[in-house]
Amino acid sequence: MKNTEQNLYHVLTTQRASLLSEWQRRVRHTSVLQLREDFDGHAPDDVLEEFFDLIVTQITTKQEYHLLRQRIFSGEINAFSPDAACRLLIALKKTVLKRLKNFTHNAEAIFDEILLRISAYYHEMRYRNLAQSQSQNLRQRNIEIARLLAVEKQRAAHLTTNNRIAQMALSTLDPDEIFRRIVHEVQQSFNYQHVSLYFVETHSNQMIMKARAGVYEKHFPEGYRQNVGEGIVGHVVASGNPIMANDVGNDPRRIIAFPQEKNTRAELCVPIKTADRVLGALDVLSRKKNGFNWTDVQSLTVLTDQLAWVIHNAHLFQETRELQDELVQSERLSVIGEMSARIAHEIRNPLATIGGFARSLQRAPTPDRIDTAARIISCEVTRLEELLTDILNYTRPRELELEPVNLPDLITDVYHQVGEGLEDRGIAYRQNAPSDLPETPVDPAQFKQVLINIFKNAFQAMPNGGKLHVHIRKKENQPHIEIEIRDTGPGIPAEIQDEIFKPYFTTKTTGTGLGLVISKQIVERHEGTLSFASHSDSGASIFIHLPDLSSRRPL
Amino acid sequence: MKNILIADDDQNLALLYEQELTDEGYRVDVVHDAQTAIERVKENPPDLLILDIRMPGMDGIEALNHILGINNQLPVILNTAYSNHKDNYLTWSANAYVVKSSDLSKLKTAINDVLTGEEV
Repeated sequence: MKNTEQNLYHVLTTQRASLLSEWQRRVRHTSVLQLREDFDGHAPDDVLEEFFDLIVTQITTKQEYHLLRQRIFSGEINAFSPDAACRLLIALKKTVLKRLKNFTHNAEAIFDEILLRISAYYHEMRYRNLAQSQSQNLRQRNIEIARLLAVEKQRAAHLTTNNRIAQMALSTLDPDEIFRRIVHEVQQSFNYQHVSLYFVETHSNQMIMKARAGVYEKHFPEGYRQNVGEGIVGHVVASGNPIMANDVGNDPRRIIAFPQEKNTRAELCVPIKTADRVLGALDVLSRKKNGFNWTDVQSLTVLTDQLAWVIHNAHLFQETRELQDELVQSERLSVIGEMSARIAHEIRNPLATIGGFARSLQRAPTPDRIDTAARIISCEVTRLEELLTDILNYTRPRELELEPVNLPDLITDVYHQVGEGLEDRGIAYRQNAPSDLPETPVDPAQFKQVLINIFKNAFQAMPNGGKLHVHIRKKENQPHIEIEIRDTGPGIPAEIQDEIFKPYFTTKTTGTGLGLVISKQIVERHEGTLSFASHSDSGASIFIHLPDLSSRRPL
Repeated sequence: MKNILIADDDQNLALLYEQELTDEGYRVDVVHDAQTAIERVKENPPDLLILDIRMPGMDGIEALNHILGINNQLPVILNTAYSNHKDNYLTWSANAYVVKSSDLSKLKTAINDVLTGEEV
């Protein structure tokens, strides 16, 4: 089963890698590359820092962050050249992929946000550069578009952050919506008669109208199509070059879709393209003869370059998302497989043992056998009962019944309960607590369950003895009580640290792999947190933070 | 008297097998992990190995490969709680695959068949 899972993972990552490299290759060869010189060294440090902070706090581990940062600063990646952004994206994607295993939709949302920011940053820089080199008039228009785009981006970014849950099902960058808005903004801010956006459908060699705005909005049927090579738009798509038909009434290439279109006297159509492929076209109409000039061509070209980016991103997102879904699905299946193997093991072993000893007693009830069998049978029944409790606790958490409890006493009780007979295994126990510790409201039964799970793990981590220290701390000005349970076992290996709070994850061959998950659930239902630290010298600590309710309203 | 080596991390279950198989007239030796089983096979090969799959450290399937690498004539019965391991082709090199049960008759039949040379 493990192998199948690994293979699938491998196939998915390779597919994704080739997808990414293809994307990277295309981007490298588009006109964007020309901007490279403009951008190199121009990324303000604070912007860089902001990205890195986002990455380090939310996305990657510190090591990954330092590596990425080092690569960027060493000049291996030029800060925020388009190339650098691609690599940064790919690095981020890889990180996201890695962490996908955790089902962190959170990370996905943050990643979307970063992508949006990077792309917004591009748009802005690009317009800034362009504006400087062009006339005052055009500059103002461009700034206006940049502003509108920035507003769009911001809106999308807001959506991303606010709707993290809805986003699991829906793509944040809903490309249709973005295209619809863009054509509307273009139509309104330039006051064109009509604006249409066409996409090429490769397999049919046709163009589909994806979005439209202006006087003919109602006249074009939904999903209006035209053949590549026919009409002004068809010619633009076929050649990859813009056409400015300032007397379109007399242009032989023109196709009239409906009679009212005759009111249009001039047509300007600009391709949306990458270096090797025409993706579509942006078509604008004017009721005036000679209604367009080269300024229009220039600003629309800028816009279609942006659109090419949006389309790239949208495609990439779509494909990435599909792959992610597959991956998530396969993980679910493997979790179910793992779960059934574990449960089969956990139930069948004790049952076989109980039944086997019972049968053996039936056959030969000698006194010594009765003794052994009775001991083993009751021990195995306890094991089954614990299993049942674990599964029930996990799938159907009980209501909390809070009562004020003296934590040090409770912990000592649990230690003695779990550690019964373990003194001879050489485990030294120590417990410290502040003398003025207030009584803490917890559900004693459930909280004991948490401590039992943690103590058991600690004992199992030290089969040859060691030290077990429990520190209870209450710091001034901090609204919580901290319980640290530290053992001197081998610690928690880095490679499993991401896994230990996952259901059915365990390093042991017995047990359900639910102990820590349930413990975390219970602590969180107390409005607390459960975390861990692995110490470089030796051992691991589990931290429980409980809110100090003595300073708050009574429950 | 035939020697049987049992590798099972479940101590109570291993004790049951030990009792029952001793009653059947075998000489039984028990280990609780795969690594020890491999060492035992090297030092003192039994007539038959009964191997659990889910064990701490190396699992039974991996152990089976090692053991057959050392001695490919050694009869091995895989004895596990989970029938789906049967789908793993790596388990096919064992002489028999028995799903654990409180009724040991299947295991006993398998032992008998394997030791008398009848494939199961």
